[in-house]
Amino acid sequence: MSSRFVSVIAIVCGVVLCRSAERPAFATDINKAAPQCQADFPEAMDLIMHENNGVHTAPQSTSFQWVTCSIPRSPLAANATSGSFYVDGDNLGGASTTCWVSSYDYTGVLLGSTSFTTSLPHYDMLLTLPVAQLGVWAYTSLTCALPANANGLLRGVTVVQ
Amino acid sequence: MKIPGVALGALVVAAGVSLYFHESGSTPTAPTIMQSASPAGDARVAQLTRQVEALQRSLSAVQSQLASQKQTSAPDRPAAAKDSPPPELDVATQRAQELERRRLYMAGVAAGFNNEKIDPAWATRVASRVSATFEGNEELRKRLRGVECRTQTCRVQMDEDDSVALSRQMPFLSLSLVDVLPSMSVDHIEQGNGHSTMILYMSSRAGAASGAGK
Repeated sequence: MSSRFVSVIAIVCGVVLCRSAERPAFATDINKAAPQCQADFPEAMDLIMHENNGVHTAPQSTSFQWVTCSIPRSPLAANATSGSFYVDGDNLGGASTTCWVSSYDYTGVLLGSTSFTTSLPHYDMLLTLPVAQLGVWAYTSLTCALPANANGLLRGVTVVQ
Repeated sequence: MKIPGVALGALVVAAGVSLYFHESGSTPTAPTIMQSASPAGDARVAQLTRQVEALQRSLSAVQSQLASQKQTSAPDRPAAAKDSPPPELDVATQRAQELERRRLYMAGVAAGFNNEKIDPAWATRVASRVSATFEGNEELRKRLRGVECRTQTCRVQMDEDDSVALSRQMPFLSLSLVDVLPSMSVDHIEQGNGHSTMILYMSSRAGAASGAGK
């Protein structure tokens, strides 16, 4: 009787396996919040404010300040022709923000970059790099020139996988 | 991955059904024989019979599903093969392949630039902007070897070495030219003396779009 029980269990397992095989697989985007971004230059370290919802310049900052954020990513799909990045943030009082995504080979060689500048109050910009500049071992980063006087908040970057 | 999963499930179901009948005797009439032997066993056998019938129906459904998936996926087989991950390669081979892909890509970019017609007005205006940007930065100025603009692309040649001095200036370069040349592809040509030439193909084609539809 126990072997019958085992056989019934095997049948049930088989049916469950068949059903679970129906579940589709999805590629995973990666969201990176901007509070991890760092000032590019030591003299600007005290002029960059890190909030829970992003990064901006300090109110006493009289000029724009540079920040750079790492962009974690996975290798692109075998048939991909490009990789994309959404950059989100806000501008206050007509200020503008300039950002670009750079890609470096694992040897440190600059492969390419793509950029935008915007004065939209709320921006959600899509940047794209060709697959030849996003190899398996390439490192990508986001650099932004944030407006002075806390007039802009960089919220984060999303890698579209 | 979907079809092998279904196939595996179907296989397990088939094995289970087969094992069940093997254990119950070689013929499906065995439960009938037991039925006359004991009323308690009779109920149990009837229950198991119903279970097996239900499982057989499930098995038939799975087999039909598998058959229809095979039919549906057959015309797409070449595309599916293209999407499947490449076979495992060692790191050195993968890196060599990537290097070759990049070389081909940059050869295409260079050819595209060489074939680009010249828009004198745009070329003059943008070349002036590029030159002014380099003139305004000591580190960039001393490395500049040439600027040539066409219709939507400028080729900028610079000396480079292993120092980080140049890479520190790249943000300034990008910031100064983001409104006219927002994207660039970079090539590096070894000079054989520890130095190399960095060639920037800077394009006016928008590398960015508002992502309102995200």
